[in-house]
Amino acid sequence: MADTTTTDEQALIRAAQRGDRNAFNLLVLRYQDGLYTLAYRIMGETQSAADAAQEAFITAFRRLSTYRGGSFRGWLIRIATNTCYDELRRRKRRPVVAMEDLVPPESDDDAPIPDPSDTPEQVMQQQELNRAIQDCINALGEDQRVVLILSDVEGLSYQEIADNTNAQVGTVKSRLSRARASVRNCLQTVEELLPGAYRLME
Amino acid sequence: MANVSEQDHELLSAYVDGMLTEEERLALETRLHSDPDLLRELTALYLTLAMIKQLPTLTAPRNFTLPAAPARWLIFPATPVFSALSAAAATFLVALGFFLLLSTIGGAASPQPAQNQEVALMSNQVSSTAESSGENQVVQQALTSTANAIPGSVGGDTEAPVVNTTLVALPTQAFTFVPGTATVFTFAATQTFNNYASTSEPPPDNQRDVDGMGGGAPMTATLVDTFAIDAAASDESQAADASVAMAPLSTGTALPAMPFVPPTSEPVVGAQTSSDDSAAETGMTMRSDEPTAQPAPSENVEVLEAESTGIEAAQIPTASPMATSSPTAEATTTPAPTATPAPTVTATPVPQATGMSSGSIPAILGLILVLGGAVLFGIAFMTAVARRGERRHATKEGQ
Repeated sequence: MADTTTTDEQALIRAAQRGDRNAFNLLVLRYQDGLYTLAYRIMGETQSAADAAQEAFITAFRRLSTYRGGSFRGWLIRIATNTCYDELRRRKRRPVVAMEDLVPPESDDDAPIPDPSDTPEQVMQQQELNRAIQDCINALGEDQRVVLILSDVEGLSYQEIADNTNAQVGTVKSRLSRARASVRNCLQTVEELLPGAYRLME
Repeated sequence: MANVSEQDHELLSAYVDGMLTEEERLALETRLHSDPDLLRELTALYLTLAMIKQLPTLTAPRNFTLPAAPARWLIFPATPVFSALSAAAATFLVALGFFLLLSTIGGAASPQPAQNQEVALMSNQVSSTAESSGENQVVQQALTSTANAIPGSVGGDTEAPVVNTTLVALPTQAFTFVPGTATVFTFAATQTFNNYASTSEPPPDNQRDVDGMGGGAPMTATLVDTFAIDAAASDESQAADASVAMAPLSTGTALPAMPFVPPTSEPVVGAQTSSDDSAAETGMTMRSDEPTAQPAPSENVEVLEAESTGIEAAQIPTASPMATSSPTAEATTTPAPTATPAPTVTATPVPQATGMSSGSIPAILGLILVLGGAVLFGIAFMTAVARRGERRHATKEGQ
């Protein structure tokens, strides 16, 4: 199944490289959730994440000729990471606050459909925990945040993270260690939201 | 919170990711057995990673698929590079085209009058022909002396007018000189008699016969002499005595009726022989002619067959006697030339100034380049507009 999926993906990629927009759009549908999630974890809010994801896909379509094989997902992640970096730097020069950010979201509209076996309380608790974790990630610096997301959310290796961020492996190791320690300390402030097992960390 | 150093945190983080060497891993595991704080920190690290990893994959708020490609009304690629190259090429073409146009307009000097060119061509022809043949030199000398002598003899006691003689030596290649024979050449000499400057004052009667016009205006007379060149006179030393070697045919000399095949080129304008003029018998005729028409060097004389003598360029046997009568004496008895119909001469058109035809080519080329540059500018502009439209379309779809 995985081989068939990979074969189909390679066929779609080749067709897209020949200019077939429909083939590329099929690839977009396959990876848009993951790319949007990555952008959301880095950018920290919905609208910016959507813009970054759209821009990343447009860039990917234009640079399809540069794809030389390998993990197409990893190639897309690299494009999305650079797009988010560019947007973060642009925000740093001209800080803006989106209207959506002024009003805290009452519900996590982007959350996936909850497990039907979970109770509403469990669903609510889970959503609050997720929001708290995201808040702790948002509190990190840009470099630590990106490294943490790429490693612990996307599952990239140290070398892949170093390639994506144009940094050394030792730098990636150091940033990741500090990022994890910061998130751990941040979660201790909301331990009431943490599962019972996490409260044993103290 | 356990008191763990940052270095230990880094070791633990790498340990969790499996990025420690074998030695480092063994050393850390040994420490973990003996250090509860380090173990607690490792546990906390594992739980933190678990909470981060359990974050769900979000659902995209919308489809990020690309819109359909807009209808391309442009066959050229709407890329910045293409637009820049088109604009640069257009600038170059326009500049080059204007340069050609301006250089053509500025360098279009007034062409030399056709007449001057004719004279120049003929002079060159004369000089080249004269240089190639010593016979022609001798002939020219004879013509000159003859021409100069004519007015004096006709005018009697009048002073010799200023005669400007322009000799046009017909191309000798039209006549094949056959050793052992004499070839009759016909030369046309255009003389301008400047003696009669005033049209109001008629010339003396004794001079009217000369020009045959009765007028006093400067005129150009065409002197046509037919000389028979003795084969023996081909030697330059012998040909020095023009009066002997080359003399006009005397009256009554009948040339054998040899078929004369004129060259294909047109006869010389103004070079005529009288058909019913007794002077034609002597081979010498003076007549007024279209004065300014200078015979082209490529033209040969079309000798009209005289009614009485039928003078023709012919191959004359060496033994044929030739009269050596003075041309001046002949001139004196030359009656007024009758109106001889001008031969149907079609002058070979003298080539016009080459600058005219060759100058139009750069102008046309320059115009083409300017138009081509304008077209390229249009293409560059359209590709830029198309690119902006596509970008705007994509942005709208993204929103």
